[in-house]
Amino acid sequence: MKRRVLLTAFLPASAWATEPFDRGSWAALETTASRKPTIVHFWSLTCAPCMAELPHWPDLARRLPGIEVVLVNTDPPEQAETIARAARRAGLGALPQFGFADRFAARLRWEVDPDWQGELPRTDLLGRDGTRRHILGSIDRAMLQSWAKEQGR
Amino acid sequence: MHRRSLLGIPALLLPTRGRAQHAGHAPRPAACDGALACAPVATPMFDPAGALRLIWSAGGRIWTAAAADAEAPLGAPVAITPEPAAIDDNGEARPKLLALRDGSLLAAWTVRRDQYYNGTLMLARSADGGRSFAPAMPLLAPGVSPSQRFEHLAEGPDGRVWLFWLDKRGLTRAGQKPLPGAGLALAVSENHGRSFGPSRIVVENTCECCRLGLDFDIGGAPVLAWRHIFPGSQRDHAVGRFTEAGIEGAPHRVSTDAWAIDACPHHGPGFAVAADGAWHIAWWSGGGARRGLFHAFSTDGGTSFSDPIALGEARQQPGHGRLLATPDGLLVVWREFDGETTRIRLQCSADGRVWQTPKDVAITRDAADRPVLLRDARRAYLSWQTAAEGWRLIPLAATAT
Repeated sequence: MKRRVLLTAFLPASAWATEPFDRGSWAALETTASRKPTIVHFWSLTCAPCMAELPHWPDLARRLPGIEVVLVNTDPPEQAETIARAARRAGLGALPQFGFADRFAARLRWEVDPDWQGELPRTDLLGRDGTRRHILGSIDRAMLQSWAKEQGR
Repeated sequence: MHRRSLLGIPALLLPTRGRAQHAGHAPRPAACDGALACAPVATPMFDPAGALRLIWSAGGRIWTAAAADAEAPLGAPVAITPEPAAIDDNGEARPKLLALRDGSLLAAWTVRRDQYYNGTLMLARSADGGRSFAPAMPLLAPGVSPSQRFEHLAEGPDGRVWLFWLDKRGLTRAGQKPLPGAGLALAVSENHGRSFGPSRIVVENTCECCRLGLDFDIGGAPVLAWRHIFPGSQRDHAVGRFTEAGIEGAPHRVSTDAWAIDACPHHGPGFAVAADGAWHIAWWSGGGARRGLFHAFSTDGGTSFSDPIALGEARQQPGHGRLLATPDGLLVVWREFDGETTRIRLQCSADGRVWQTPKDVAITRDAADRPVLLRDARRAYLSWQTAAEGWRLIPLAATAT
């Protein structure tokens, strides 16, 4: 965790910066969503479909005006350097990013969804009106865009 | 806490005695230089002489230690690898140790090759009872396969060593879409693990991120359970019996859970062949037809399976089931989590068909490994590594009278 903080401090924010995703982080994101519809995408280095999809997120986010897109890595905090390399390679720089900051990952997942046992990739759609849904597996671009359009109404 | 064993005799659950006392309650050291308390996962086995062998990774290195038996304290750790490396020890992946009947030990683990978790399967052998290990060597020559992960090795009744893993070779072919997932690879050793024969892909379209389950059938052939990718991207479970040449027939589907998902469940099966020859599997699915942790068995070599029976409390994430066959019957353990507390629950059966009421075997309130079951000549044990308590070996029930 110390290492994560150091990385954040020394790298220019445009290159790579991440925030710890800890107890309460999910509730904070839900609060954000009450002001601006939010898409939270969870990914891991251990998940091949995640890694295949990751480089598409910056472009996807650009095509979702008015939507906050947040990426959360679920790997152990000890792997901060590897996560940072993968994030840079995928060009995630400009997107808000979090990393699981607690070795007790099951408890963090529980706050997101008591039914979530760690399947990835996972994308949660948080509507401004409090509606919630999530998608397991790769993203359907058109579906996200139509959800974003509904949120804009 | 008052507990009863499966036979109704006074319980043999002694979670605060013996090894639990030895390993538990140690504060996590600041520098994790090989300390067992730092290991995210630890995996035990009893050797043919009844000694306990434990393998774990900490500080990027692979370590092992031995105890004369289940009650004795662990001896000093021995480093299997001299230099730190990116050991795959997160979630489903765990270093493994095989104690062979000729007295040698074979350690297997995966080193992450890059940030995409492509792996290199490593082996190291000890010919002096675990006091020292020969330098670790990759199983495969460079260039054979871009990634190997989730190895599983076991010694068959005839002394051959079977090594299965998930392999990413051959997924792209000219003019075709890349195959999804990975392939199941097999290599066999005829000389107690000194060397392995050529490796081959024996099943295509396996899920790439779930551990394997393995046991030997009554005839001594290896039977494997794995998460397969069936048509329609359905990541449901399959079983098959193997020879050196590959799978006998086609993979048998355990059940149609219809979990169509292009994602990594990180959740492989538990598998055991019971004394009566039946194949038992415990697996988790998030499928459209079935969601949760389930058990089913086959009495016809996988051709058909019993109706799946749900295990555990559906609202408490039951998962990571492990099965163990004993002369007295069958044990299944799994993990449950209620948002704060993680518990290992045990269910016993004399015949693998009628199950007794589940009971809690151990709990923790911090990060926890998956449960592992093993047995010596006397009884079965739960092995569980947890961040707060350290490594515990918990006797479950007598398996011999």
